[in-house]
Amino acid sequence: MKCDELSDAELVERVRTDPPYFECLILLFESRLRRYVLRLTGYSSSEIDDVLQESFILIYKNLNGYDSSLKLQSWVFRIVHNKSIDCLRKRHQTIRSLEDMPIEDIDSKEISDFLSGVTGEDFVFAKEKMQFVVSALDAFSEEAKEIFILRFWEGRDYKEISDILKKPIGTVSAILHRSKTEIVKEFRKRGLKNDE
Amino acid sequence: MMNDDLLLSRRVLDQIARENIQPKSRMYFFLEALKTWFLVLISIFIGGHSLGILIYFASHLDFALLPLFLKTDEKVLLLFSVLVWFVGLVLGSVFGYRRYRKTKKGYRIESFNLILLVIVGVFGVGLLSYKTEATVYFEQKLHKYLPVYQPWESLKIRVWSRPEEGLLAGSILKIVDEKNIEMRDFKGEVWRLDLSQSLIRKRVSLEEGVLVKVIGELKQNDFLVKEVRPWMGRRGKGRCFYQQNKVDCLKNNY
Repeated sequence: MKCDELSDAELVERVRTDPPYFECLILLFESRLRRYVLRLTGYSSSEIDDVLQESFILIYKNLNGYDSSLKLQSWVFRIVHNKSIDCLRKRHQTIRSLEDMPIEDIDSKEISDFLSGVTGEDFVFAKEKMQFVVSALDAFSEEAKEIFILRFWEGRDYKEISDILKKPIGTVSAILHRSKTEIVKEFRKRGLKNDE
Repeated sequence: MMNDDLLLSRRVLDQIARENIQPKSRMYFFLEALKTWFLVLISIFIGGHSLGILIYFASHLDFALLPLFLKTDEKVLLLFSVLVWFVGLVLGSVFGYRRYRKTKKGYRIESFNLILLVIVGVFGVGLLSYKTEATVYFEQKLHKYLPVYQPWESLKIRVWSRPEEGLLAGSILKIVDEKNIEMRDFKGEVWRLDLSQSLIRKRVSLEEGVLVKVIGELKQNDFLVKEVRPWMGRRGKGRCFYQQNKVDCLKNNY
């Protein structure tokens, strides 16, 4: 099976007519989803397996509800995201602290672009500065943290984030912009300069 | 990692086979979407209709007179009905907003635009409901099935049937001359009214069959007219406007 050669719509149609093709869909997304659930929840490997198994069953049941105007990846991520948040809520837990994630996983270019957008300066990040930015991001609301993870750790664009979280693009960009302004303010207050 | 991948996909496929899990049908999703849209429309309709009734209340300029002539329990009912329709307006709008968000692409529209859209929808339905007098029809139906509900028009008729307190209303029976008319009130009594000393509001058209409200003073058997107003406030028309006998029409309807 050459799953990655099929378009999103073709793959979904193929699974509808030939259920074993579902394996294709699982293999196509599993590693990305595994990483995402880990970032979101901090669960162990077996717990992530459980979340993913339940999510894939849900995806299979809802195949006919797939809206082909969406990227299949965004739709799949949405279901897994919701399932992960459900699991966290059932256990009275919140999204994993961003500071617990390996700093190397973060897209430093994305963060630089993010902060440069407000100041007009080019930010070059040392590891310590990155650590500061991550702690600052961690202080924001759960809603904002969901967006940060998708943007800076998963590298998703605004449209994808909007589709995954089912929020208007304007809300996504407003939250990012607000956090950006506050971080830059804090950055300057602490006297951290760009050339340090 | 590859083994884990295979393990997870195998586990998922095994569960699908073991439990004979089938994808939900397209019809299911179609009906779900239909249900959501139905709830959006019904919410907007309730909000709009409530607004229509509130406009109907407000458009009667003598609204302030009512509390002066109503008994305490009637005042409570009146305030209660205004409150109910206000709650209907708010809840209809809020549910309309929230339900729209639950439609397939409802999350894409920006909050401000969606709020604007809901307001336009509610106002559109409200004005339509008011213009077509669906509000009056709905009030009558509500009164029929919920006798405790007092339609606005019925309260108004009672207030304007108190000649001893200077309030009289009815249908113009005959234009006697430029200064005198005959009017039949809601109790069926015919009054000869002298308008020579009265203020006649611009919106009043003195023609036979037109419903008017009259403010004045009862002296012995004569009613001294100080002011003539149209029955339906700014609208000048009513549900019974096109009826031959408006007084009977209003009495029968309320």
